[in-house]
Amino acid sequence: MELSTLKIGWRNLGRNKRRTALALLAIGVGQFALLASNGLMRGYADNIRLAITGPMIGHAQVHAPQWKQERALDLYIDNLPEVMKQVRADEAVGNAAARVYAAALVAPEQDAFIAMVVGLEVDVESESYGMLSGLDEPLKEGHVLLGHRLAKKIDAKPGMEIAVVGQAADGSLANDLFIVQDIISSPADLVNQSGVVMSLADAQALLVMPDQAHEIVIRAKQAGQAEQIVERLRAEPILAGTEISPWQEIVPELVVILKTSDYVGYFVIVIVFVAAVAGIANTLMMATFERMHEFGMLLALGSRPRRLIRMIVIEAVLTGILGVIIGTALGYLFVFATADSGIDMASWGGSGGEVKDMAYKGLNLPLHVFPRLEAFDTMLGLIAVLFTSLVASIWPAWIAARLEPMEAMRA
Amino acid sequence: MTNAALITAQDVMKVYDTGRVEVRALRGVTLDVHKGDLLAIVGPSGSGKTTFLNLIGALDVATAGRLNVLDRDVSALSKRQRADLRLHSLGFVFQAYNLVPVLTARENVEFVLELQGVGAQRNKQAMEILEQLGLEEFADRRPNELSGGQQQRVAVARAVASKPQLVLADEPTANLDGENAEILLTMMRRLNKDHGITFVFSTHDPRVVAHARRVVTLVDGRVAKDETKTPVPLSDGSGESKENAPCGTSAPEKPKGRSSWPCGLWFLPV
Repeated sequence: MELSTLKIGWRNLGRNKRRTALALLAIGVGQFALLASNGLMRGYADNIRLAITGPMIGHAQVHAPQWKQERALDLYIDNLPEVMKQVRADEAVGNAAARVYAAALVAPEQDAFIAMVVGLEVDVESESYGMLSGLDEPLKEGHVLLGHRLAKKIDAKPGMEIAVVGQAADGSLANDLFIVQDIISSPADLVNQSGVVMSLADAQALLVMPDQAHEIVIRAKQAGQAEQIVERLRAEPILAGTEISPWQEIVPELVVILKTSDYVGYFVIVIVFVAAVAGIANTLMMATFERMHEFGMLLALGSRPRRLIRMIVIEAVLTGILGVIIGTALGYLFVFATADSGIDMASWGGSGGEVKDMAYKGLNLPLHVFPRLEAFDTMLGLIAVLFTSLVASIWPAWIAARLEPMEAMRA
Repeated sequence: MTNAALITAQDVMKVYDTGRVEVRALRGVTLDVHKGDLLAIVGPSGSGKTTFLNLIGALDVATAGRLNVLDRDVSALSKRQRADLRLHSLGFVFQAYNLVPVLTARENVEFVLELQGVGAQRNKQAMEILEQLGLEEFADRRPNELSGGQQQRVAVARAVASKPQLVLADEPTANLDGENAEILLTMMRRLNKDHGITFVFSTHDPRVVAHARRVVTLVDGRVAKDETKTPVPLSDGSGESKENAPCGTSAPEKPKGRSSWPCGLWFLPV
């Protein structure tokens, strides 16, 4: 590429400042829209991913066969201490927690309400991403935590004594009294709606399930290791006869939602593409027709048509790059400005702040989104605009390439 | 100075077919232009002056007849060969200055050198040409920062930068006042006299005719008159004859920015 071609292409941008500014605005707004929407979609996808792989589901789960379909009390994992030891021995496993689930009736006073007993390993679940993470005081024996919606329904308060009644795994009657330690709001909608959360030991005692659990939730050290962990655990003899699944198999619908958010990003790219084509093509066409005389003069001096094409393409590409830089700056400004405080997307729905989240498949999906960008997002816009610039310059370049010097100079 | 013919036109015709009407711009021009000529083509509007200049400049192709420019039959050349001919052997000075508006004076001169494939030396060469034509103070100015006369002088610098054998100038003084026209014509006379560059002007301007050594009059697309004459004495633009002044002679007013006429112009072809 000749230096003069670059110079002319670059300086031509300043010849009609208003027109160039409009083109840059079109591209810049497009790139901004791309980054802002991608930032929001990524933030929202993070919420979904965190809800999936966070407290409720983790990166992988172990169950007794058919438990996921039937959720029957007697479909449990046996020999739990040995199984847990094996699971935790895997190098990629961050932590693993056993859980017990059982339908029960909870009675604060006279009336009884349907509830779900959730038995948790208090120490493990108190760690990051555990079901009890962030709890002010560790869950004590003989105490329970109530989901906030259940608590509201049964009018329960901390310190109140409640009776939990149900069927034990051996067919006997499960029945005990517990003190309400606290009312909780959990990322797991199941817990919020009907959860009576107690320690694993209390639950095993209540439901007569010694060394047994319904579920082992595994959190990988790195999110992408879920499938390798599953592969390795499936090969362990002690886990033979159990079902081990990565999160993608447990909630395939949410995987679809995550992919859909990517497609939304691609859709925005198409909008950027169209805006950029319109902006650049208009600028170049106007500029080409205005400069016919000049092109004729350059040809008269001995320039080859290829050089004129390069000038036009350079001008288009520079317009595109400048537009992308402006749009990227605005996009990152938007994302940085909102990354810490987040954006309450629920308020967009006109609920007046009442609705804070939504539940799907028992998972709580927060609507307070923290926008986030990756370098790929910027590159995507840049590639789209560069491609667009080349497309937009085809017609003007084609016109320039066919010019005869005299005809052009007469124009 | 030799009498070798740089241009040989034999019964050259040019017809423009506009679709509705045929315009016969040249009806059979026969003319030789010799090395070292300082030729003005004159005639009324529509007589074919510019058309003939465009044919000589390989910017257009004759409809009929034979036109050899620098021993090449222009009609037989491809588009690319004509571009090469223009680039390497011809220089152009147009009526409307026609500098690249986004390039400085030096960059405009460099542009032609770059087209010719001159490498790292082109900046230095361009500056030398501007200096030797007394234009160094304008080197970093863009055309919109130059007067019409200054722009036209830069255009001449660009035209001779490629070391052409022949410079074609279409109405070069049409937009210039008397003072600037004189400076420009004196500059071209010097280039013609000192370096043998052949100039062909298409013009209405009696000031150009006064400087020409040969005047060809076209009427209705034909050569009506072809006469050789004695040009006005070469001056520095102040009216004082400088025909025999040695280089470096003090010239307080012209060209602007210099105290004397440039010596040598050694870089130009002889």
